[in-house]
This record gives sequence, C-alpha cells and structure tokens, in this order.
Amino acid sequence: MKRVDLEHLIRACSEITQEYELVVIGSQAILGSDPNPPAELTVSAEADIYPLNNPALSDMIDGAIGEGSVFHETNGY
Amino acid sequence: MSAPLPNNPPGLSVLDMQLLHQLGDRIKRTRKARGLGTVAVAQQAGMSRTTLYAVESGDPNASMGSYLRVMACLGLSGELAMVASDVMQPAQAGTAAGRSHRPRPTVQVTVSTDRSRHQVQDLQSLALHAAAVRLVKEDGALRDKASQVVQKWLHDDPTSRSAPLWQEWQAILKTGAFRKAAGRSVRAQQLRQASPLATILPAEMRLSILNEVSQLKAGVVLGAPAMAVES
Repeated sequence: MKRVDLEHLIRACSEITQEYELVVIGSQAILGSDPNPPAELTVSAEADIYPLNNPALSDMIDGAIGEGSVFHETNGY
Repeated sequence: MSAPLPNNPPGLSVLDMQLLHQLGDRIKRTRKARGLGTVAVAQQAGMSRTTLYAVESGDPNASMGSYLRVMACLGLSGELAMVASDVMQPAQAGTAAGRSHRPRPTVQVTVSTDRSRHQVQDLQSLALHAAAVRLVKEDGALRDKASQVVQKWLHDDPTSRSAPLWQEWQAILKTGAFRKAAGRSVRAQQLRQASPLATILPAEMRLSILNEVSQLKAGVVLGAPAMAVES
C-alpha cells in the first residue's frame, strides 16, 4: 500500500462514519509517519482503521469498504 | 449455536474458530511457561513438529487425538476429563440428584475475541477466506472470477507494493494451493492481506460472517439456555 492509497481509505472512512479523527493500526500505520517506508514493509493491501471517538463504527467501515467489498474489488485494498 | 459457515471443514462457525484459536494459544502459552521447546513436546507426544504447530494454531484439521496427546504432555488433561465425564451433564432420573427440587446450577462461559483489534480483523479475514475457499473449490467459475480480480488489480497498478503477493495469488488460484493462506502463520496472514478471495463471496454470506465477528467482539455467552449476546 502507498501513502496515497491510505489517504484514499481515510477519506472513505470519514465519508462513511462522518468521523474525522481516525486511528490506523497494524503494519500500514507506518505510512502516517513515513510516506516512503521500505517497500517490504508495505506489501499489505489492508489497513485497519477505526474512529477514535466511536470505535464501534468500525463495523460500518468493514461492511462498506472492508475485505470482499465492491470498494476492495475495485481498488485492490 | 451460531449458524455454521460454509467452511473447511464444513460446519465451522466463527465462534468455533475462535474457540480453537483460544485453545491453541493456551496450549502454546502453557508449553512456553513450562520452558518446553517444540522439539521436546512433539517428541513426547509422538508427533511431528508440524502437527504440534497445527495444534498450537488451533487448526481445525488437526485430529482430536493430536490435541489430546499434547494436552496430556502439558498436564491439561484434567479439564478435558471434566467435559468427557458426567460432571457437567444433568443427573439421571430416579437418583437423589435427579429428584432434587433445587435448581440446577447454571454454568455460563463468555467467549469473545482477543482484545487486540488487529487480531479480530485477522480472525474475520480467516473466516471470510475459509468460506471463499469452500465456494471456489466447488465452482470453477468463482475461481476464474477471483483470477480476473487479481489480474485487474495488477493491470490497474502494476507498481503496487502488493504486486508480488498478487502474483503469488495468481499461482495459488491456478494450482489450488489454498492452504498457503489458511493458517495463522505470518506468511498466511500476509497473503490474506492482499487476497482477492473474499470478493467472490455473495453479499449475504459476507455480511453474515461480519455479523458473527461483530457478535464475538461483544462477547457470546455459552452455556445459557439460548445463546445470547451481552449488551
């Protein structure tokens, strides 16, 4: 995953949840602090994201753009 | 019990998978706490290290006998004996216990996913994959669809950092070596994180699995008259 992909995901998560403070966990969180980390650290096409102030809304994110969704099929992440 | 997933082996729900993962994790923790290596325990249990790894991963394909032998080596047989004996079964009619008017003691166990959110995500991914593998094995058209999805991803973004994993998925879909992505190893997790398989799931099946995982996050109570989700 590239930084631009993560930014796309974050915009989509905000749109779905109407939350604007999001937490990224897992290996792709590195893209937040380093836009160009070594390629081997960013082979994953998955980012785990939940709203800081309402973590339960992560289920909405999973349903709408999570693994196996049309969003995933379209974008590859 | 929650609805079984179209899984491999058939009938395994997300809850069942979570219980096996917890059992495998506990066996592994116990082995490490006793300072025992995999070589020693595998030897004592009379199995290969590969089988021991399968048990410690909560692999549903490992036999009950393998689980039993490892648990016996680690001194965990006592708890299985409770399940196997009549300790947890209702008293027989005609016995003093059976005639008792005292209410039966109720045993409830709450099962939930690991507190680490990222591990919940991986359990979900594992369940989605297990269901998708089952469908793909039954229907060649779905395998073709998954191949087309990977091909599209590679075509749209050939410089993607996930491209090496997508190429490996092309090979997996061609050869049917789905077990590469089925376990809990780091490599299997990595493959699932760039997998096209879940995209072939029918929407209702996908949402059913997401719903089961969501229930597990909240905690599922076992042992009650009917399964309920803690609010």
